[in-house]
Parts: sequence; structure tokens; C-alpha cells
Amino acid sequence: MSVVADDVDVVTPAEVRENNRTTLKKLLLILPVMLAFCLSLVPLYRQICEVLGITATRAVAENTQVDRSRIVKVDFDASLHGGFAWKFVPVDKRVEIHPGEMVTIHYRVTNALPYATTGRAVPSFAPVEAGLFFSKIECFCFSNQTLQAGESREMPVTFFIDPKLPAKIGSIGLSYYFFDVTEEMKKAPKDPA
Amino acid sequence: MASVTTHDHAHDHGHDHDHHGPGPWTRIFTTTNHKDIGSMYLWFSLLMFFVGGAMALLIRAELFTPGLQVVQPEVFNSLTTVHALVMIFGAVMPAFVGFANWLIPLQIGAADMAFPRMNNWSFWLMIPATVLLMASFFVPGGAAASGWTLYPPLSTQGGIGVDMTIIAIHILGASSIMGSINIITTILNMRAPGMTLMRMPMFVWTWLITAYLIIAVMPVLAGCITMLLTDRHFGTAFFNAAGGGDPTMFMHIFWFFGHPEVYILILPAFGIMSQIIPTFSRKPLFGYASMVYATASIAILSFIVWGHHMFTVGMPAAGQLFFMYATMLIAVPTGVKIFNWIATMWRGSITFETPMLFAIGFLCMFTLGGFSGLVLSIVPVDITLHNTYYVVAHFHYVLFPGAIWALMAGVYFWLPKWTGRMYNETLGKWHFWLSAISFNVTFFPQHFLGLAGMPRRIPDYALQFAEWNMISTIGAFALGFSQLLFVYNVFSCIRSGEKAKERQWDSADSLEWTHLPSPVPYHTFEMPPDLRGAKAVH
Amino acid sequence: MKSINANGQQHALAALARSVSIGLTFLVSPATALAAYDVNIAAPASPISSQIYGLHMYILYVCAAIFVVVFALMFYSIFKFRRSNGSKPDVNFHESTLIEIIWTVIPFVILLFMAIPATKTVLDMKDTTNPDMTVKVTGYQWGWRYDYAAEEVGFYSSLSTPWSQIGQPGEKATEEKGKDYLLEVDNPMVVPVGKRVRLLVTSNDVIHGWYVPQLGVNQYGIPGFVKDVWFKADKVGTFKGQCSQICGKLHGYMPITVVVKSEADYAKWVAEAKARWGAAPAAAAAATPAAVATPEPGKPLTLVDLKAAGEKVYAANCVTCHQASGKGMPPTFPALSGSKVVLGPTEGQINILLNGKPGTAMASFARLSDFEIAAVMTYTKNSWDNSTGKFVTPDDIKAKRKS
Repeated sequence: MSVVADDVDVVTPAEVRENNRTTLKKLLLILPVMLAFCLSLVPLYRQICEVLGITATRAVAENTQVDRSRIVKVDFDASLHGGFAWKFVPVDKRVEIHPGEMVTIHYRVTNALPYATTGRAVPSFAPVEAGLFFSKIECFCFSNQTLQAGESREMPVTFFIDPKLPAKIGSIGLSYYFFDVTEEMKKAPKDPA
Repeated sequence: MASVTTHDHAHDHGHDHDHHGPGPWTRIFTTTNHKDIGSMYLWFSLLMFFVGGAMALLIRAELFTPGLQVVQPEVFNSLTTVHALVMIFGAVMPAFVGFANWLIPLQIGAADMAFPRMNNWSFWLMIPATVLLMASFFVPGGAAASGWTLYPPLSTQGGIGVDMTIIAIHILGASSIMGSINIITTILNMRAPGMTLMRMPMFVWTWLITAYLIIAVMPVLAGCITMLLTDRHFGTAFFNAAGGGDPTMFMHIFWFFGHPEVYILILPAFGIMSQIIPTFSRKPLFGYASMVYATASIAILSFIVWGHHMFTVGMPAAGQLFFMYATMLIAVPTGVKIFNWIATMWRGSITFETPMLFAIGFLCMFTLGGFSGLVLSIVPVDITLHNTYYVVAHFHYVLFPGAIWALMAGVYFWLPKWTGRMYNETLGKWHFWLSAISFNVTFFPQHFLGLAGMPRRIPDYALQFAEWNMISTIGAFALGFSQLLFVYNVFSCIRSGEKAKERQWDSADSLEWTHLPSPVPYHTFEMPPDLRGAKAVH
Repeated sequence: MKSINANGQQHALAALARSVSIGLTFLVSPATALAAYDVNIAAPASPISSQIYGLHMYILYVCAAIFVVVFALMFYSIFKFRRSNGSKPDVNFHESTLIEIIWTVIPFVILLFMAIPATKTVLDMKDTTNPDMTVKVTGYQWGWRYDYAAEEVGFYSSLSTPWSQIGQPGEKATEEKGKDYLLEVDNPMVVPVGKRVRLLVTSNDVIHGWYVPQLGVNQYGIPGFVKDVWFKADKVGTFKGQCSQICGKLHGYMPITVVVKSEADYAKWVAEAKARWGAAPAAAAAATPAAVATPEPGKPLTLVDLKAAGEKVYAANCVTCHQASGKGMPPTFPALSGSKVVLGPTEGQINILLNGKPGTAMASFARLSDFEIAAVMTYTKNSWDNSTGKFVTPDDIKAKRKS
């Protein structure tokens, strides 16, 4: 059946079957290896983050010197996403601090709705690079805050700025965004965070 | 087995596996012949080219004058979105795969592709995908309307049309990956004796590199849109800040795919150019080795420039500078290619048949597109031009005369070989000149619109943009309708063209011209030609 | 109507004639065409945009020079080495390491000369030393909000071109398009001249782009994140821009206007603005433009109370599309007056308010409180030509939300 010529090796059907079987065996062997690799990515990722120091939980009690020669202005901003009907304002709008100095400021959040709702805040920095030098000791971000109808709460943020902050950054904006996660909470009552 | 070179390709039943004589319909569905599949890819992409073109004309019609006249704004957004997806995934990529199917086995002296059945499947996968994409216009909520980049959260807002688009892209991606595996395997394993890597025609080289690009980035796109899908329906928050995600991450992942994708669309075009220009200059390609290296370095650099699509997201200065330098660097190998082509023409003996006209048009227009690309690579200038018509003009300059003209040049070039008949030269020249003029009338004014600050993807615009838009629309309609000449020329060539010679272009030197008759028989190179000791062919 | 349509046609014809004449002028004498029409970046109005303008011109000239050289070589070879010219191919001329090196190194050097000034401008743009003032810019579908942190002023800014100038497919615009068609807003952003203004750009829903070319700013607003960018206007005037990132249906209809005033005029404006918008503290107002007082628990609701509260909700959320008259702007924005949905079963209307109507501009208003939705529904059911005498209670909404 197959094309046969003088200088072409003749391959019998049995040999073909044998070849295919070998290939299949190899492929089956590769499969668990790939699976194991995929599963190991999660711990590997954690390990790499730890080794390179790119974790959210950075060492807190770094022994830092206060740099009295500089003053950095920090502006606080508050936003609500998608018309989330809370009231959310920074109590302290601006502080002027020395790098290395520890400060605590407050935000006030009020649930203006007639029923309990849950929000979750996400921080962001302007300029983005400033985030690298901004160490928060205490913060309300990424954890769910459930407020009863009409409840108002003051939430502290304690932080210091790394004295290694580049000289060209003289002013930092710290902004929090509150998202409405009430619906999400209903769906998944046990919050992993 | 007797030689089959005398068989007419359409009625070839002389072969073992064709003994049962499948009817034309069965053959369409079951064929595993690289030439059949190549033709099907090409016909399909021609159809999609006109579908995408019709959308472009609707867009231009709406933009003829200020105000809303033709379509509702959300339909306009869907049109811009699907126009891009259809042109990229439905027209240009399949067309190049069609060329690859037709030409790679012929140019390396192989009997067929390495995986003929997978080849068949990768073609047929495109049909349900395209149907899904087009059908999304008719579901509640309409087709995806967030631009082809599908940035969340806008794309999370859309209706079921977005899901259909995501699934369609998934299937098209799978098809491309299968096609690429097939191409790589064929090129690496099935070359005729003596056809060493550095003797392969440039077209084969560019496709080898492109296929690696596809395999590298299509899974990234698949992952990206899968995350979008799970964000939409399964409560994940990859791109949603509320859950700790970030819409910016989507852009990073998307453009990590998106930028190499641009080169997927253009590298095979470089390959076609490197076949045509030496042929009509009657000289070997200048700097063959440096062409190979330039292509490879463009492909490698394409992985580290994605950030230039996102200079306005608020990237730190270090990021902006890195992506700016990397982007500018691409100009070097691209320049090398342009110079090599010019040097190929230098001291040649040039004639100007239609394929050569398109090739020269490609050179001129692609160079212009390269210049506007250079302008856009400069971060501060990009910030003022980002998402304006300048960008639209830029990528149409590189993709229309770049990819599309290369494809058309390629069709004119190989039609005599494929069909055994010649196209109408006069008509071909008309097609070129009409396309060249109307293309520039359409897209050159868009540079001005962009510089003046007209954003892209808007259905309506301020009065100061009116004149250039009107000129652009007139050009677009002329451009669209000139392409009908091409269709007519292809059909009349197949039906009643003059008989073509075996070596229609006297100095074409790849195997399909030197070893095979015109038209090429249905089965070729069942015995690989022995090229050991033969003179280099490129 | 007829005369207006005729006007419209005349306008289109005039534009066509103009286009053709530009096209011709451009072919004959580029300089005249260049002078008369927008073919370049608009006149810069800030130090950064001046740098951008200069940088663009510089790159353009370099490219033009390369263009001349490359195209000269190309066309020379095309003309000189034609076969019809008797040119014989020199098949041995297909490799030269020296030439290859030269045309790799020269472009590289040219690029270096482009990169150096560009780098300087990038660093200047990213200069984050102390700003004189901060304005938070929030993108909405489809408009902007400006919050002046120190001044405690915040307001919305959206397109003020009436839909009667825009028209609809199959329905001609009934009004002549104005000079600032699609570039005019109700409340422009106002800044003092010569001050460093830091913008904190963000978004309430999808990604928007705050783009004012003459000030050298183009910055995405990304929901959940605040990105900073700054400008310093160096002359008094009005500067226009548009949203640069596709953000849904009315992406083309969310312009930006920045009015740069002298210090004294700016102070005057701040005083006025405080009187007008000052009451709403920035972030709180971002929630619901006119927050409606929720009723005391236990007190029975009446149609009159609900309707009165609903009128405010309507004015804050619905009026831009459905109009104060309730007649909307069909077909994009249907009339509520006499609407089947409004007059029909409560269920259907609640459903649309909570979930929006896919494929139309009608977004979900689930963010409003149960009371607000009930109020605005009661208002629509009992205003204009609608007089159902029915009212909707917050409990109805709550029940529907849960299901």
C-alpha cells in the first residue's frame, strides 16, 4: 500500500504500531510531570516572592532613622466605586512629615443606607513608585468592613515613609477606594481574607 | 507507484487513498491535501477580508460627516471591535496560513504537511469560530463593543456577545496553534536532502519564526481571555480592584500577546517580499543571512516592547523609558530589511509586473508606517497621540500595504503556479494603482486628524475634523471597491486565463518554479528531490 | 423641518466642496493647505506640551531626512536598474558585510540622538515635586467629575451639545451644529494660570482617558486606582479635549474643557463654585449626586412623599437621557411619558432599574437605595402624561433584589 521506492526504508504495520505505542508511553509519562509542575507553581510562586521580598507582608519593624532634613507632603483621598452609597472622607486631609517618622491618620466612613452593607477598600499611590517606600503598619484595606444602617466608623492608617524615598518625590497621594461587596458576601459567607 | 506529475489536480483519482473517489463535498470536508487546505484557507480569508471591509465601510460611512447618520453609537463600537478581530484572525492570519500550506511543502521539497489530518481540522475549526463571532451581532446586547483589545471593566459589562467573542478567539487561537505546530514540524523534519536551514527560501524562514511566535503568545491570549471569562461569570477578580485585581494587569497580559501578534501579521509578509523582489530584480536576495537574523531579532524584540501600548496608564518613568528604548531598537533590524530589499534592486534588471508593483508599494508604504511608528515610540509624543487617529493611520499603514498588499502580491505571484493560468496583467496594474492612490487618500489624512487630537473609536466628531474625515471616507470607498478588481482578476484567471509557463517568472528560483510544472499536480515531491550539491536557492 | 433639512444638505455639500478643494490645494501647494487646516499638533499651552511639540517636530524632521535618503536610493534603483533601460543584473552583488554593518550602525546612532531629548522630556513629565494644587478627576459613563480637594468644591462636567444637533440614524439633526459641537461642556474645569496642577485621575466604572493635548496630558482613569499626572498652563484660555479610551456607548460624547484663568479670576470662580457646589464634600457626593433623605422607620409612606423624593432622584440620575419632559430622545433614549414599561407591571420596571437593559444605554441603577428606586419609580408613574395613582414601596424593591 505505502509508497515504496529503493531508497526509502520499508516500515511494516507492526513497526508502526510499535512506534506509536512508544510515543504514547512517553506522552503518558509527560502528563503527570506537567500536572505536577502546574500544581507546584502555587508554592513556587510563594517561595519566589519570599526570596525576592515582593510580599504584601513586609517586615514591619525596620529600624529606620528619621530624616529630619526633608519634609514630604502626604495627601489623603477617598473614593467610592460605582456609586456605592456610603460616605467616605479623610478626616485628616494632609500631613507633612519627615521620612522615617511614624504617623496615624483617620478616615471616616458612614453607611448612609437603611440596611447593613459591606465594603472593601483598596489603596493606591500617586505616583506609583511611592508605594514602594510607603510602609503601612495599620490599615483597613483589603479587609471587609460591614456597617449597620446609619453606622459611622473612624478607621486609622498608621504608616511611615522610607527615608530612601527618591528626592524628586516631594508629595505623595494616598487614595482609598471603597467597593461594595455586599452581594459577594452573600454568595460566599466565609471570606478567605 | 507511477509518477503523478501528469495528473490534473482537480481530478486526481490516481492515488491509493483517493480510490473511492470522494465527491466534491466530501473532499472539502475530509481533504488532507496541503494544496486543498491552502486554497480553502485563502478563499476563506478572502471572504473574511470583504466581511471586515464591509464593516470598515460602515464605519467610514458614519464618519463621512459629523452627527449620527448610519448606525447607533454602540453598533459603531461593535463594528470597530469586530472589524479588527475579523481582519486579524479571519483575514490576515488565515491567508498567511494558506500561503504556508501551499508553499512550504513545495519550497522545501516535502510531499505534504507533517500532520495532514490536524491540518484539515485547524482549517475547519475556524468556521464555527467565525460563525460564533458574526452571530454575536444578533444576540441581545449585540457584539463585543469594547474595542478588539477587550479591556475590562468595559468588556465585563457587555452581554453574551462578549462571551461568544471570547470563545471564538479561543477556537481561532487553537486553530493557529495547531497550524503552527504543523508548520514547525514540517519545516524541521521534512526538508529534502540538501535543503539545509540556511538554504531555505526566506518565506519558509519567516514562517518558521512566525510559527514560534504564535505558539509562544496564543496561549497567553487564551489565558488572558479565560481570566476575563471567569471574571465575568465565576466570581474571580483578576481584573477587578475590589477583589485585589487590577485592570492594568489585563493590558499587560493582553499586549504581551498583542505586540508579537503584530509581527505574526507582518513577518510572513516580509517572507513573500523577499521572494518577489529578487525575482523581478533578477538577482539573489541581498544579505540572506542578515535577513534571517533580522527577522529573528525582530521576533525576539517583539516580546519586550508591549508596554508601548500603555504609556498612558500611569507607568513609572523607568518603565516608560525601557519600553521606549526597546521599541526604538526594533527600527534597526526593520531598517536592515528595508535596506536589504533596496540593495537587492540595486544593480538588478527590474521589471514591473503586478507582484513587483505591489512589492514596491509595500516598501514605500511600510517605510512610511515605520516612520510613524518611530514617532509613536517616543513616550512624550505618544502621550499626545495615544488613541488618536494618528495611531489608526500608523497601523493601517503597516498592516494594509504591509500584510494585505504582500498577500495580494503573493497571490499574483503564485497564481500562475497554482492554477497554471496567468492573471490579466493590465487589470492587475489597475488594481495596484487604484489601491495605492485610494489607500493614501484614506489613511494619510488620518495622520492630520490624530495630530489635531481626534480620538479613535468615536462615531461622531467636532467640526474641525470634518474635512479630513470626508476625504478619508471617499478614499475608503474607492479603496474598498478597487478590491473587487482583484476578485474579478482571480476568477477570470482561474476560468479563462492564458496558459502559464512552468517557470512563469524567469528568475524565480525556489523549488516550485524549478522542479514542478504549472499548474502544480495534486501530489508533489513524493520522492524528495535531491538538492545536495545544487546551488543555493534563495 | 424642510428648510432645516435643506440647510443640512447645503452644509454637507459645502463641506464636500471644501474637502475637494483642500485635497487639490494639498496636491498643488502643500504649504497653503498646511496653513489653513489642522495638520499638526495644536498650539501648546504648557511647558510640557511645548516640549512635546518641539520633540515631535524634531523627530518629524529626522524622519523626513531619512525618508529623502531612503526613497532617493529606492527610486534611483527603480529608474536606473530597469530592464527596459538595458540594465543587466549584477548577480554577484548580494552580500557585503561592510555595508550591512554600516546600515546597522547608522540607524542606531540616529536613534540615540532621538532617545536623548525624549528621555529628558519623560523625566520632566514625571517630575513629582510639590504641586500648587490638586484636582481629582473621576471619569464616569459618560462625563467627568472634578473635585478640588483644598477648596472643597466638586462638580460634574458633561456634554452640553443638545441631541437635536447630533441627530439619529434615519432622523436628521433638527438644529445647525454649533461652533463647539461635541467639544462643549456644562461645567468646565477651571484652573489658575502658571500653577502646577496635580491631577489624580481615576474612574467610577470603566477605563476612561483624560486627554487635553494642548496641556500635554493624556492619562487613563482606572477604576479602583488613582494615577497622578500634572500640568502647568502657561497662558489664559480655554483648552479642549475628549475622552481618549473607549468607554462604551457614549465614548465620543464626553468632552473635556479646561478654562485657565488669571489668579484673580480664578479666586472669583472658586467663590462662586463654593456657593454652588461647595456643600457636597468630594467623596460623599460621588455616591449619589442628590442623596435623598431616607424616611424615618415606621412612618407610613405616601404617594406625595415618594413622588417628591423621586423628583430629586430623577433630576440627579435620569434627566440627562430621559429629559425633564419625560419624552426622552427616541430611539436611543425612549420616552417614559406614556411608556408601556412605566405604566405596566411594577415587576418589569424594577427589573430594568436593577439590572439595566442589555444592549441599550440603560445601565443598572442597583446602586441607588431601595427607597430611592421606589421614589423615582413612583415619580415616573405619576408625572407628565402618566397618572397611575400607584406607588412603589422600598419593600417591593428589597423583595425583588433578593429574588
